[in-house]
Amino acid sequence: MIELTNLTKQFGDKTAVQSLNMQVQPGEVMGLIGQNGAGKTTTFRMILDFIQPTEGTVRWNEEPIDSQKRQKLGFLPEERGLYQKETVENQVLYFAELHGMKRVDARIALQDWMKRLNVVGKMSDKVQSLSKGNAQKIQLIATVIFQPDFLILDEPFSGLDPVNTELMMEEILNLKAQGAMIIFSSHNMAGVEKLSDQITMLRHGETVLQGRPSEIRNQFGRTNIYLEAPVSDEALLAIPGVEKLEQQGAGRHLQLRDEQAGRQVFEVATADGYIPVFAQEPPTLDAIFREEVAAGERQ
Amino acid sequence: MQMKQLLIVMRQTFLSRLKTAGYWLLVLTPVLIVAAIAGVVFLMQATQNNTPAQVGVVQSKTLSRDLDQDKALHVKAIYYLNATQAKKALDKDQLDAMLTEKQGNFVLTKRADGQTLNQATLKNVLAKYNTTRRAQQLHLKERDVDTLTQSPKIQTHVQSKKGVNQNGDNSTANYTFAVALGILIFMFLTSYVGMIAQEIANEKSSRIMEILLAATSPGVQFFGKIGGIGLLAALHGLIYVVLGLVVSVYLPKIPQLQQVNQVLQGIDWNFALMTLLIVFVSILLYMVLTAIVAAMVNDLSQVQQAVAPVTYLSMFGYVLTFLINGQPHNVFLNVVSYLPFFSQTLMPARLGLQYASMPEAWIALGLEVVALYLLAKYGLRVYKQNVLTYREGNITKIAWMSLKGLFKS
Repeated sequence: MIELTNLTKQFGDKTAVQSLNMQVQPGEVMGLIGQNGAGKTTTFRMILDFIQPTEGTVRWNEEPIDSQKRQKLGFLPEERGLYQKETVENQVLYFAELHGMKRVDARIALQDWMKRLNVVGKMSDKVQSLSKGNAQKIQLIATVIFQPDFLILDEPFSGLDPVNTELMMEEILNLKAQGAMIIFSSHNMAGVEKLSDQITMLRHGETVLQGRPSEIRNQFGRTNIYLEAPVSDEALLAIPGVEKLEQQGAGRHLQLRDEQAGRQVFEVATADGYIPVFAQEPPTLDAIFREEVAAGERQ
Repeated sequence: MQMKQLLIVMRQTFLSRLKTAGYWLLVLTPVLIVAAIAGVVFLMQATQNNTPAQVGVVQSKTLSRDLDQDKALHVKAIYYLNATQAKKALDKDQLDAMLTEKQGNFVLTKRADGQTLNQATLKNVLAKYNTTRRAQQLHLKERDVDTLTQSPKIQTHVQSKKGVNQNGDNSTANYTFAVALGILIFMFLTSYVGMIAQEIANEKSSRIMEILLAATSPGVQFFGKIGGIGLLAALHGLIYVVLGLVVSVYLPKIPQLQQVNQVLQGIDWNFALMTLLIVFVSILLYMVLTAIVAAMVNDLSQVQQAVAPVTYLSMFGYVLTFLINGQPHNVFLNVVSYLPFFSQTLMPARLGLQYASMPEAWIALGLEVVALYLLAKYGLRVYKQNVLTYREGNITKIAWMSLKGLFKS
């Protein structure tokens, strides 16, 4: 288990991360979200021992992360880096060896990974000759080829096209299924919700939300209705508790002040009988994120 | 665990650089330059026209015979009854020069495109001819004339710290050697400094360093890189030792390269190995210093700027090497030649010129090793601070500040 306790980092009089607590169990994914500068990368840097925390501890199975444990730790930085003039084989095998993998095993695993991720290119190709998408796949392979027990992914979907994003998500889920502990940061809220067992949201270094995605969403109540029904906007806006209404695709999206207002909306919408869609849901993670950011700016 | 990772980083650094054309160009450039010079000298000697110059001597059979018999002058003298005949032969390119005499004074008329004639030797022969003629007029015996005109012989022995060199004063050759050595050492040093700087700056600017440090430690990266490039320098030295062995066996056997042989006369294996050791340790020393400053750059375009202070440092010793010849007792040069960061050019040059003894060179080497140990120990801390920090501002200033803070606790 990875356990962050009271993790704090101050740069001069600026607090980058404030008393962060977090636990990640084997086979669990923690999504770390927040605006740029919220403290996500600083948190990763403290976990990786790139910088020393001002306060607090990082423990892996109740012990500090030593050189032995680092061998089973994979890290994908936000700004990707590969040796452009080296061959795919040379550099992936180099990274694998640094993580304690035998060269011969790494070569077999690399062939397997390249096939699985549909990398267009040969092991003997230089990275500079690969397309951006294929280079990103090689970067992922270099991060996970040694089957890490603990994986840190800083913005893993940044710069990826939808196909590669999906591919990346599948691999993260595969690693999770194999028992890896994964912490990742992302601005892709759909991805965060899909992958994460738990979410931590940071704002100016402070933890503002933490928990399972469904629990977090439910904290805000079922205040969102998506409706496809033959009823006028005026009739809907006249219902007490309906705060806002806007067109959304083939239907309308209603924002409620109180989730209890949903019953009345349902009654008005179904007054003439059958309607194709009535969905009352908590706000999306994306909406919660925006709301929290806006709240932070108001403070 | 860390030792295994250290060896992996060393191997990767060594092999990736070994495959580059730049490394082999660095190793082979001096060899190619020496080979090119030797080739040109050989070619010049081999294609030289050895036909003796044809010199027409007007009216004096004795002089004609004297010129013909002088081996040092190496001419074919032809006697002519008068100047007109000789002039005709000169015009028809049958002669390279004509020599006429009037009351002990001589006039030499040369063809512009004729064979070269050594005028200094000719002057000696003519002086001897005049002396002999006057001696005959004075009824002196030939033996007496020889005794009177014999010049004293001077044999030069150079007493140095290595003992007495029976081969004489070789100061010009020694100076050439010291300067050449200084240039080569400076070239190697700056090349290896450039290599380590590129290596670290590339990994830092491309963020590969973050991936590497997630798996290893700054110490493994720091010493692994220096070790890998150090191995390249060691291989470089080994290649020169092997080439030196080959040259030492074959060079004396090539008569056309006697001049080169003469320049290398003062060099022995002790000197060569000591020079290699001093240079190798200094390369490591400079690499440690460079690794510290290169860890500060944010992108590759800042590398030159960041390592500028290191280059200035190495240039100081290099420039002083040009002044060392003829200054065996200069206190400043002697003191500086022991100091780490400067001794790599000065001490081998002093040793080569026989201004310094082998024990003195050992002292310089020992001081270099101590400096290397201290710099590596304290430098790792600064490297660790710099390698994951991306700072804005004047990189040279930051580099100086970083170096100033090296030994602060």
